[in-house]
Amino acid sequence: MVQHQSLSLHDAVDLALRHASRLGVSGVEVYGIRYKRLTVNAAKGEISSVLFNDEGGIALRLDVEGRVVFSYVNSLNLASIRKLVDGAYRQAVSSPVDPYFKGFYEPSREYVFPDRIYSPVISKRLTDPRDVIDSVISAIQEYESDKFKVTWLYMGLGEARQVIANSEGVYEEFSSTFARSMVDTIGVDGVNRSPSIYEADGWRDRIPDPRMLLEKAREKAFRSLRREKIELPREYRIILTPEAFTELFNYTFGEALLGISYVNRSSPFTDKVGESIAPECLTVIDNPHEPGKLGSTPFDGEGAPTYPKKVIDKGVLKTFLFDNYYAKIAGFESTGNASRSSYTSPPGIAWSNLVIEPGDVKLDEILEDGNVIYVERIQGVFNAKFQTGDYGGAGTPAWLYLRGGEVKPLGSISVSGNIYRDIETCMLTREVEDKGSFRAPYALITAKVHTI
Amino acid sequence: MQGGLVLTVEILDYMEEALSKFSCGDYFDLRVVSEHGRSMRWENGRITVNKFYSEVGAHARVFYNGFWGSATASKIDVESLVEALKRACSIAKETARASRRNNSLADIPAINSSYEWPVKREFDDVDLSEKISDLQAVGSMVESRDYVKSVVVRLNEWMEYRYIASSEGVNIWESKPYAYFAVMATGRINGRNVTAYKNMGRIDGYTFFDEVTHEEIAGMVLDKLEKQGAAKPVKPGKYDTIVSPDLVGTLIHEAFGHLAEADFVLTGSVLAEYRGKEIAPSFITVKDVPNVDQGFGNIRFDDEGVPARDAVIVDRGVVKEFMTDRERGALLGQDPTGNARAEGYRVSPLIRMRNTVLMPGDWSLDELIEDIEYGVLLGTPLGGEANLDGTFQVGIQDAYEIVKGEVGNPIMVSSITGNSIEMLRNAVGVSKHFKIDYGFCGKMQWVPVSSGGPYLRVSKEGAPSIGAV
Repeated sequence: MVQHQSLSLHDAVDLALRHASRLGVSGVEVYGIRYKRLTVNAAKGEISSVLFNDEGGIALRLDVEGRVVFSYVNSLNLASIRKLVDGAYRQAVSSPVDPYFKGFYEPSREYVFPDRIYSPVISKRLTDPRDVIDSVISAIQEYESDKFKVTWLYMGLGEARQVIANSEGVYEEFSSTFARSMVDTIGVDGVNRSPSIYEADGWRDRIPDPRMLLEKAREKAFRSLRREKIELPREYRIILTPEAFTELFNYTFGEALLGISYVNRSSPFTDKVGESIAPECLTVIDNPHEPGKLGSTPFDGEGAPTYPKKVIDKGVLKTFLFDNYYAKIAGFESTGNASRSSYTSPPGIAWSNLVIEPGDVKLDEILEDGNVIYVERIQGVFNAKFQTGDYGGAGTPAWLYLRGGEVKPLGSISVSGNIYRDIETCMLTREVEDKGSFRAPYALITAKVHTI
Repeated sequence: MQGGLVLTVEILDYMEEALSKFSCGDYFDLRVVSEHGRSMRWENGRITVNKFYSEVGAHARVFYNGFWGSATASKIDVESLVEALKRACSIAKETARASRRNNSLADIPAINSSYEWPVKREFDDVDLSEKISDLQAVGSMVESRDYVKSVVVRLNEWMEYRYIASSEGVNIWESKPYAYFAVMATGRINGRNVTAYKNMGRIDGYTFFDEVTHEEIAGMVLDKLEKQGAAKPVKPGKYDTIVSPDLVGTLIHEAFGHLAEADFVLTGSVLAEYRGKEIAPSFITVKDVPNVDQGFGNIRFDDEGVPARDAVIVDRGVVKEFMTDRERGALLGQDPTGNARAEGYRVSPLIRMRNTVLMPGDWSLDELIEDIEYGVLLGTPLGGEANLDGTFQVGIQDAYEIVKGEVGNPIMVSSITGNSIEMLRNAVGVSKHFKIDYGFCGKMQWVPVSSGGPYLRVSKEGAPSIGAV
């Protein structure tokens, strides 16, 4: 096996561009990344594994007269990159023409770099993980007990430098960091067990404290140890936490408002730009410039500048989210929503940071009013049908708030409905949760509850 | 070719030399994964994803005073492998500094072996135009119906080579082809939006259409769409239930199998309380096996070099053993089952399933349902989620009512919720059919798996609850 010296990221990208141009391609897009990542997993009061990745890769899309191929390689050296480009070219010439492909993104807007997307503290922790390991150990040892089991604690930190360039004149780069923590826990009290309680948080500019997640999880676990019966089946008012609400939104409205759904006409909203598709309470923004949030980037996976946009404004649909490919099919411009989950896959369309504007109702008032079921998460919501808005899943954990202040723990309930219909009576709270790649309020909707 | 015989010899030599130059802790190993493959997606008349790739990388692990440290390298040479081992050692030492642990690793033989899963039709021997034509044929047939709004057909094929060498003298490699073909269609029938999904998997190369035709695949998808369109409402709740083999596989994997993974057994799975105890009738046997016909989870050795064996989770109604890696095997006092698997080289092995099955019995389907006055037959799943107490939620594509012992009209069921242990405890019988399905299991990383079984009858008390819409 021939080994070559590693190239710098810029040199690797430039080499790929030059080599492709020499082959006489119609267009080329090169995405390069160098990243480091530290992953800590813990369970049962101790760390189970710590992993460090340090690597780079080049992803390539070649356009040979409308025949488009994606390929990647996980090494940044001369031989690998030449082989990558040559191999992609050979594949492209024997591929069918995509009649809808109209070239790679052409620069047309200014770039804006969001604040707080790089943290020197996170960067330092990657090469000196002592503090991270200590914080995970102390958190898990503090909270793990006979009554509260931490089935899994995850902490991931990373730093990446990304470069995107293409034959239309795009050449941009940025560096970013991220840190995520997740916990999965259960409460145990004799024969009583709580449902799984899951908490997560993530930012670009700070390391989420696992203690805070465990504290929240423990409080919920202890409040959901018992399970009581209620009248079933019937419709109930359901108050969804911001996490549950955004998950349900993502798998319904969120999918329906992607450009691919518009073009394929699988979205129920394809012909409804400018029309009301939700109640006035709902204003939804896709904001890739939120300081410190996980979805914040200056440009998307194709090099298009990102920008904040109202997707739904007081219930009225303002825009779909597009990458360059589907935008051109639809006759629009890219909205800067091409996303790469990793360099090993071609870009697809995705939301950046989901921001749902709060309402003017207080959460306490809704709960005090009573006869409402508070649902922490809806498991299985990924099976929701965005074409119709139908959803079903296990609301877990859940509590019934009665007028007068009594609260009945329900454990898990089976909940289903149609969000496009159920949200018509929505009320959104003033209180919001701001973490990961969303900021959203609690949402009161009506849904069918079947069983516990 | 990446991972071909010449490359294999080089990789093994580098690994052996790197291990000989390194020392740290109680145990250390190297795992090199080389993979090359292709993904294509046909969507409403055109190819929208046309991807091919080739990559190779190494994963180094060190076990030091009961703690693991891991690091990766994307260059395969002695220097890079030693560097990765050193980084792994440093991480393990750092972790051990902050904590105490007495964990050890179950003994395994120092095997020097290899296995190449036989390839009937090499991916590179099949012209790209034939693959595109297959995608187009199935997609066009489904798309031809007026009520169909959108069709996506996917092909994923890849060849994987795994090399594992350790400080204990393990030196193995294994190669296997994987091929996956899936169709997803949406439509509108009788004013109702409908969705159907059908997949196929092969582990002997590009052989999808050796046993099934394009028309048959398209026909299965259209049949599901039409049945959903004709489905009548049903009152949500519980019924005497027949679970189809496809759904049995999903439930056995999602809602029961994960409970039997030893890392979860040790951290909260409800199945921990049942070891050695009866959990189901004696006709219920659940296994996770490393070799079934065309099993996506087939392996000879796991990613720790452990020879893979059957994990008999439930043996005639009694919980017998769990799926383990070396560390949890030692903790549970059980021989490791060879369930340590990782997605590629970038992540560490976890306890993962392979082919998880409910064993068949000897009833025919007619015999299973003949005395059901009114019940339901749950058909194909759409994916699900489960918890460590056995509760689950699964989407359903198609379901049918059973009336006086006969399968009748389709009914509208969007999802089911239930508890896998209650379901098995209330099992009434299993049929003699056996079918496996193909998919990918996610546990922070994706591995190819199969799951399956027979038809399973469950009494109303333990049946999943139907959440109709």
